[in-house]
Amino acid sequence: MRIRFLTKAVLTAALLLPVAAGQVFAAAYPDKPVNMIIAFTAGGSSDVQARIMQKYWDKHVKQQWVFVYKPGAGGAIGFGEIAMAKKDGYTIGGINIPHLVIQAVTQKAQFTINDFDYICQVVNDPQAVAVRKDSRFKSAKEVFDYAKANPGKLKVGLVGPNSGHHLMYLDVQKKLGFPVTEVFYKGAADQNAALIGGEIDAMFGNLNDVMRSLEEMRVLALAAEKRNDFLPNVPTLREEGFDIVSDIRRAFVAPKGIAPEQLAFLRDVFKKIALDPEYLKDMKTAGQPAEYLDGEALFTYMKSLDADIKAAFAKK
Amino acid sequence: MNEFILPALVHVFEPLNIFLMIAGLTGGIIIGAMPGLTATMGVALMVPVTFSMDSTNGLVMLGAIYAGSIYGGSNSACLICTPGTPSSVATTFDGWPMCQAGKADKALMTSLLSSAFGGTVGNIFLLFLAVPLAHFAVKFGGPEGFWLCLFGLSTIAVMSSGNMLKGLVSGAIGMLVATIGLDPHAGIPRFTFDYYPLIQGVEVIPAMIGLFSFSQVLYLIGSYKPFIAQYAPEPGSLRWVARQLAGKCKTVLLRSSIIGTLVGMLPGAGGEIAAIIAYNESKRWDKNPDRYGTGIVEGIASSESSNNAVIGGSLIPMLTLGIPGSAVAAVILGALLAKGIQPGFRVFTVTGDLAYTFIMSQFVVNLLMIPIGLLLIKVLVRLLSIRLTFVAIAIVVLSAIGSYAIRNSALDIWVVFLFGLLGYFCNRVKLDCGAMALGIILGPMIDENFGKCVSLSKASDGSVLQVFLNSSIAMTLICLTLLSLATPWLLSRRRKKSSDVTREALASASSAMSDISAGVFSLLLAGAFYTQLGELEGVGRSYPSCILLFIVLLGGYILFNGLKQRRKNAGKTMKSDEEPVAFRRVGVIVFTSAAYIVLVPVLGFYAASALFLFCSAMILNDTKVSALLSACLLTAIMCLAVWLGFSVLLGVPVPGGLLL
Repeated sequence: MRIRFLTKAVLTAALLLPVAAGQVFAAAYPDKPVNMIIAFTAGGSSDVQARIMQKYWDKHVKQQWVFVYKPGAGGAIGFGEIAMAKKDGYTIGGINIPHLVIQAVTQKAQFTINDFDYICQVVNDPQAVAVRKDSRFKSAKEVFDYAKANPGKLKVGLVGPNSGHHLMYLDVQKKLGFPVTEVFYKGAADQNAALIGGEIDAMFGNLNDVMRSLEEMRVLALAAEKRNDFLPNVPTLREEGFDIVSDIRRAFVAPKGIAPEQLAFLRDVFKKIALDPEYLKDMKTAGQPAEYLDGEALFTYMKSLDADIKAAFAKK
Repeated sequence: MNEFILPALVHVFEPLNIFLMIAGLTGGIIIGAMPGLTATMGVALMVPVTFSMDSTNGLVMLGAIYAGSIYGGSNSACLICTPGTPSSVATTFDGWPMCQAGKADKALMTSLLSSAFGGTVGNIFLLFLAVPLAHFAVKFGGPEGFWLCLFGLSTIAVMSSGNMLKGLVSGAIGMLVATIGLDPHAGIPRFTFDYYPLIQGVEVIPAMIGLFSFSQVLYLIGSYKPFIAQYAPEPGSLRWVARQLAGKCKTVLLRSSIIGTLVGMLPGAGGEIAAIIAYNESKRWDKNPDRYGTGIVEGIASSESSNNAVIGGSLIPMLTLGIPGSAVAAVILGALLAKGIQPGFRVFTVTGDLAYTFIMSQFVVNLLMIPIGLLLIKVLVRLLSIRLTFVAIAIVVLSAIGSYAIRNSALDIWVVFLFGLLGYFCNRVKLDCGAMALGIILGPMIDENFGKCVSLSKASDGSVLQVFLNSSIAMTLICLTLLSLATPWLLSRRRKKSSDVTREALASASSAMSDISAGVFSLLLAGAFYTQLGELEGVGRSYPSCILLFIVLLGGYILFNGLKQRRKNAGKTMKSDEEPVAFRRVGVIVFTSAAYIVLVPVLGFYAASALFLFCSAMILNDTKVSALLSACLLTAIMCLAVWLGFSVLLGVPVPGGLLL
């Protein structure tokens, strides 16, 4: 008898607890935790950035974020998950650009750039041209000149294929002629290892990634509009006379069609966070190149990028 | 270095650090022991917690979780034949037979002491040789990676020396399945059978949970045993194990730990590969290799010491070059970077205090692991006194949530189910699940490195051969691979001299049927993949084509062999030596599990689990106690435990639905 009573009690408790916790009360948005979809693994660069933002989100909003990791297929699984989420304002997520645009163009992905409401951009991580510390190349110009003089001899490492690095590579090929041997790596860690180990002669890599192995590498130039605070002595490719600008950006989005006042609320909070000096300090410590861009401007950028990418990958 | 050691030791013994180490170890061991919750996840989940801590404390805690969870994986490997983390696949080979022989506590203590030993060896390398070893590690490029993986694969020949053909075809099937997903060379979907979610590929961990764990559930339910294994605790087990390890296992331990450290340093190759290579090296050099796989101390010792040695190894390139040697090291790197700590050789001078405190803490962690591990072993062996049916049903629920938690994908629960059926089928037709797992783990790395070599060949005037052969490391690995492939032949020569058991006699009557099934299955699978080759091009096409050809040739030969056998046996009366199987019960659990997975996204995880637990326990109940009572108890306890463990403590999201 006693056991039977206990059983019942435990069973009832087990069934009732989550029900009680899941009760929904109507109130001002957001009145329950907001799901934050991260399309990469926990502990990765995208996750770390979002966690820094979360710290400041909690200062402005009572409801917290629930992190949901949906990694796979270079982010495409998670991006698709955001696009297809309920449009109730309780699911938002982080996206990476240009990954998302390229996937929509080349991989039969389940989304296009029009499936999202853009909250804002928070990171602009420019691409860098890097070589080994003891390399004979002292400037980007030397790399490009050598490549042209010795077709196929220069081994260049890229993360990819169909990535931001790949896009920059196609751009360089189109504008400068760049007959090299390209090698794709699964991720920045493998690519850095290959450069340090001497398997490749040069690489296109993100600032955030080359910073990890700065003792072993020489960054020759940045594919950015202007010099970066992290490496103030490194010139831009434009300064060197090459019109190449390429970067990887991180942004936050909601599925297309959430209530306009919800979108306005999110944009407002994110803007407050992105301009907070404390937040910017944290970002700098973590090696994340912060750059704020509001939702409207970001969408305009996405549209122009979409056109560029369709042209670049058209033949494939 | 010397000026940092003493202050570092003082830091390590601060009460807060000791507390964090104990907490991290305990949590890590439990996370590691849960099928599906891996070391990577355990560490990743705790990274946000470290944001509010001092960097040194945070790092010390993450290191303790890392060590604890890699050891913890062996607990479930021994007790329920389910590797808790991918690193402990090789531990099942001897741990599970040892447990079945009633020596569960000895198996667990062996793995505990070996883990602590391996972890310490890896850490010694990290402390004294980090800089030169890091420079060696980055020399492993495309060709070297390719040959290392082939060397790993060649161990199939050693592993399944009794039945090499089936071992090889199993490995190839694993490699083929691993090509599903995004083609790493062209970035386009490959073998997705027009089902979009397959673009994320078959994740290693759910596949292994299926192959080893779910298939084990089917086997256990079908066996007529009341308990997993008889177990009577013996006093003095620990002393016995310690004497074994310090005595005849000395060489095995040391060799395996060094292999673990070296493999751990290489980016991309982690504990699972180290453990398998170490296991096979121990087997190869043993005087009597046939003992391996029957439940011997050496087998567990080599696998477990090497996977814990990986920890120190994987931290070497992470701290010195910013290149993580394993997935867990990558997560720890993320935590370091978030704190603004730049990796590099300067880590040992500029932030020497932090680096050396961390390294010293790893020594203490490996010591503390022994008492904490012993305490938990006492609790965990109790599992063996629960009725087998209930354990099996509970494993299904744990497998489902564990596999889902890895990347929050419903696809992965189905992967567990399908690979479970596959594993059960393979066990019956004598295909080798271990070899298949090896194929799934190594396949993507071979694919990727093969593609790199082809790309690189453009710079050496198109000669692929030159790329493959141009380094001394590559040549060494090739020699090792050839040696490894020759091992079965050497073994059989040695065996002929000493033993008189002819293998022909072992190839019993039942093998004809299993050969035919295995052959037909391989051919069908190859056929299905062949239909999907259409749009692929370049390396992304040629690599799977090679595997397909290999499977067709071997599968055809096995089928032919089976048919020949059957003709020879025709007319003879068959004597089956197989255990009896309760197929009705196996059918029931397959059906309820399938219904469960269908219902999870509809009803929600907890509601579906409760329903599944209750119904399965009601139907399959084989105890004298009332079915209703035991079913209710099982349901309540499991739901509560999963809810507390996953939702409350770890905050892992579970699949939602209509109800809960």
